Amino acid sequence: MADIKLTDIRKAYGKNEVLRDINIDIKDGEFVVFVGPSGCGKSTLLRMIAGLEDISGGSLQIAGETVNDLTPSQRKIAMVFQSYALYPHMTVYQNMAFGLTLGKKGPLGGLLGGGENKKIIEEKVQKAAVSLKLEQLLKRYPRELSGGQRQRVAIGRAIVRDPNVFLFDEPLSNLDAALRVNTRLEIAKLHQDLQATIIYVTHDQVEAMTLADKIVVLNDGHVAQYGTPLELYHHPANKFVAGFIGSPAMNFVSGTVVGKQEKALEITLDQNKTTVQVPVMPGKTEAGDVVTLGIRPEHMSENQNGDFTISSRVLAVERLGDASYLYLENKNHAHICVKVDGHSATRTGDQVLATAPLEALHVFDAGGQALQRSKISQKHSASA
Amino acid sequence: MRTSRRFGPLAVHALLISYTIIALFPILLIIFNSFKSRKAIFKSPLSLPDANTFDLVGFEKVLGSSSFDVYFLNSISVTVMSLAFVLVLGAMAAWALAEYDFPGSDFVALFLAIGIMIPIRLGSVSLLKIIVSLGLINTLTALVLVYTAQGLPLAIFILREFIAQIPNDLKEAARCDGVSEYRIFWSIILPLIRPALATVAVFTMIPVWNDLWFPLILAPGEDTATVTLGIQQFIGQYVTDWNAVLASLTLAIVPILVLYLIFSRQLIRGLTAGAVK
Repeated sequence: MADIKLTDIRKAYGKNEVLRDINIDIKDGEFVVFVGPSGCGKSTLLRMIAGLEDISGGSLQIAGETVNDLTPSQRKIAMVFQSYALYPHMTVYQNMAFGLTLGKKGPLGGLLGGGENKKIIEEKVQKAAVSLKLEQLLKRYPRELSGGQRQRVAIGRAIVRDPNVFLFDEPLSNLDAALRVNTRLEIAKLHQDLQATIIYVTHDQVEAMTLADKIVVLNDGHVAQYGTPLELYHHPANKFVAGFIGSPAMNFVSGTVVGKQEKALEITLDQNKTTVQVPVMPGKTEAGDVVTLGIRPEHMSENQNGDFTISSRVLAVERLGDASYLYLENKNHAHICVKVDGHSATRTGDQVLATAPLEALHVFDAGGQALQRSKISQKHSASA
Repeated sequence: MRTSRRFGPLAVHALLISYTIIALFPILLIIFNSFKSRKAIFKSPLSLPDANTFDLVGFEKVLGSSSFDVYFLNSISVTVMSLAFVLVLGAMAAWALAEYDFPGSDFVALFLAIGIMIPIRLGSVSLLKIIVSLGLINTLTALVLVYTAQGLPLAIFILREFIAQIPNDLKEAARCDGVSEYRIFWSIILPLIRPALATVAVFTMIPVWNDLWFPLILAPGEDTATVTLGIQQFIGQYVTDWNAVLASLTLAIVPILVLYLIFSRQLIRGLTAGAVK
């Protein structure tokens, strides 16, 4: 087990820089999730940690040792691939044992045998198989297994190697929805049992929120924010993180700063010219600056009293049973989503008054950076 | 719709069956006639051997009087050795070209592609010179070397394509497991390209077994002659011993048939690989 330290890591293909200024500290035993839209570089970063991609700049330390130039096995990492990458011509047992049967120093790189004692190997494989409920499947071939079973074999292959760090590359994306929830729980349990350092890549923010001790949100090759799931939810550092974390996504409405106080900003909404006083630290914003207000669907309600109000026509209604989502017209932005009670009678085309408490508002300056919130209502941060 | 669906396979099978008959006819003719007496061969070449015409004189002559066993052994050892070299060296070269980026890799690939396009026989004169200067004339080694060179370009070309299709994740998973590059090649790549290896094996061994040209110019000696060359002694300018020729040809089919049967299970998978997913 080990901690991992990434310092000024960068990656470039020729002149094309795909990752830059990556600084992340991962403590021993932490479950860290890299999340971001496709193409943000999260898989590349994982592969660099694994040693499958060269590091163009910066230093990578695992357990206090700089490992930039070490091979994957020397780094003592184990990786679980999106495609599982099980050896198709080997049984489940052989798949799991393969990495152990290798003599590291034998002639021709262990081609002629060597490796660990057979008994020890069998013990290790059996132990992993029991913990992953694979005992019955050890003699089968990968093609005879279901997706979930293959996934477990891939994890088992990682476990038997007893690595310093587990790396998961979108391991659930090939599974169907129900299995995904199950496997997610199993991975969480696995982390509990092993107390291992895990780095996990996904594009699914629900997976990120549910599994992670810490989340690294990557956007366009740099770290947009690094923090605990609730930090990211309650205090997104910028508009990108605010929009990315949370489902449905945060609503954005544009406004203009008209007044500035010590711990609040007066902002006039472009939509309906009402002015609200939002409890955020003004920072460098001045009157006249254009800002974006952010408000999560679950913090809004319909036809109630509130300090922040928007009256708009309903474009669509999604009924999930326990709750319904109303999608309202929104000038300059996609739409406003409001989470309301499942019994709401509101229908498409209705005019609705959407409201929210001022404490629930986020403000982002013209550059997309969040202004620090000076007061967060008890209701919305109780769990923070 | 129904008629066309029924007609489709029928037409296809008719076509395939007629091609099979055309392809097999000469071979069957050789086998039938090798079991007949000389008179019967000329009298009714198309008829099957019966009680009156059945005669093993050809086989007796071939197995008894000539050094056919030597030719046979020569052919088998040349074919098997060439095959082994082509498969092992070809697969390793293909793996290197498919997996590693090294200076000149494109040039090597192009060089090998040229090897496919230009028949090796064009270089017979230079080959003969090289073999002579190496002192390898009239040895089986000369034949093995030449056939290995002849088989390698196509083998590398085919195997490289197959190796390139093996998902990268498999190799990377192995590297994460701490598997050496040699071991990745032997334990993961080779088993996965087995169908392709069988295909290459069949394509390589048939021309080698059947070749007359190189044995004739490089190893025509009595001790080093191959079957195809050995048969020539029964074909004279004025008299041809058809019994012996047909019998030796029939015998020559046997080993190649055995080798083919060994590879054929793999070969069928090789030819249909990718067709059924």
